[in-house]
Amino acid sequence: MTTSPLIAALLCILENPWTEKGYKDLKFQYEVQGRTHEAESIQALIDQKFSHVDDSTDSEGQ
Amino acid sequence: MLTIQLIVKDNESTLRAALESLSPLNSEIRVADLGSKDRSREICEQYGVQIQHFRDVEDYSAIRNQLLGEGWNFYLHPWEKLVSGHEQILNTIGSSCYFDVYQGKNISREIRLCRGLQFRYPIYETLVDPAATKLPQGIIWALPHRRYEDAMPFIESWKSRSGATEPYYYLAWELLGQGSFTSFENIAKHYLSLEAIPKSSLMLRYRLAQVQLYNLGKPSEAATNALCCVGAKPLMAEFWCLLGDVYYAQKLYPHAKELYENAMILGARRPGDDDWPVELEKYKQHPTQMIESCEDMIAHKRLYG
Repeated sequence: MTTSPLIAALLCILENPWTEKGYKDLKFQYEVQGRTHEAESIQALIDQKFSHVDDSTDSEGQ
Repeated sequence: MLTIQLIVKDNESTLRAALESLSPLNSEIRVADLGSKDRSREICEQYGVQIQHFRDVEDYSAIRNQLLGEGWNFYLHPWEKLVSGHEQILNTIGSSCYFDVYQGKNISREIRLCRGLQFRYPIYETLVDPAATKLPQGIIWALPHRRYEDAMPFIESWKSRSGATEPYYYLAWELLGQGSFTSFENIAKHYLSLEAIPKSSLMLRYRLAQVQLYNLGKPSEAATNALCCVGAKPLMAEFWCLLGDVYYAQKLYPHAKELYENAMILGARRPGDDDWPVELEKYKQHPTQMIESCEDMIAHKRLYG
């Protein structure tokens, strides 16, 4: 399977689902594709999961 | 040694062209006649091919398996004509080969050249070989409904895309319904290798991932397929749940918990007019329970290591 940027972002989420990076990349990919609702939904997820989390808790669960 | 086989029933309008196209192969041709009432048998006799007669056919694979020769085998339908690939067929050694087949407005990709394989499935008789290779020069197209000049633009257009072949799609679902999981996996993977991921293939890929995880114990392959599903439809809670299940099955509970949470958050944003409408409340039950289970397992691990 060819690893597209979108799949790469998802792989990043699978590796570290408690960090923002993959989600931000994923949101960007949907923005690029013009999939506004998906991009907004990923942003809502970021807000909900990470708005109260500081850097020191990024390693939780690892 | 190459044996070619055809199943024939009232194909006099196209059979001569089919047999003529096979003559450069200079190989043994075996024909199963299912009770033709036209000149099909007479045409076969003109080309000196062996004819076996069958009545009340229920299993086409059984007939094809009876026609198989000891060495290499190739099959053509009587409404097809082998347009190219003759030399490649004769020179091929080492593995079975896929051919691009033009049928109506579709190009499908099917194993047509094989050695040591048996046909499977009674209706859409199929050769299955995970090691099969592609023989790009081998193009077969159906006659006589279009002239060659009319057909070529279709062929060229479909060659640039992945071919679609509906029979494999329906066969996959049929096998899944029968609980034949390994066969389902083989056919589904074959179909998905042909498709350019239209909507119809997304749910098949999801079911494939489920079977790979729950029935065949292949979490890695399940994750790959589930990932494709999430990428295509990130607001489908069930796709995230399946990824969560992959990690849960591997006892990676912190990973799984995060993915179940994603299912909850993104599933809640799924539009009501989605392609696959569901009762949105239903998606919450599984991830809610699994998040609780993950938290229990994480706590247990902290306590007891």
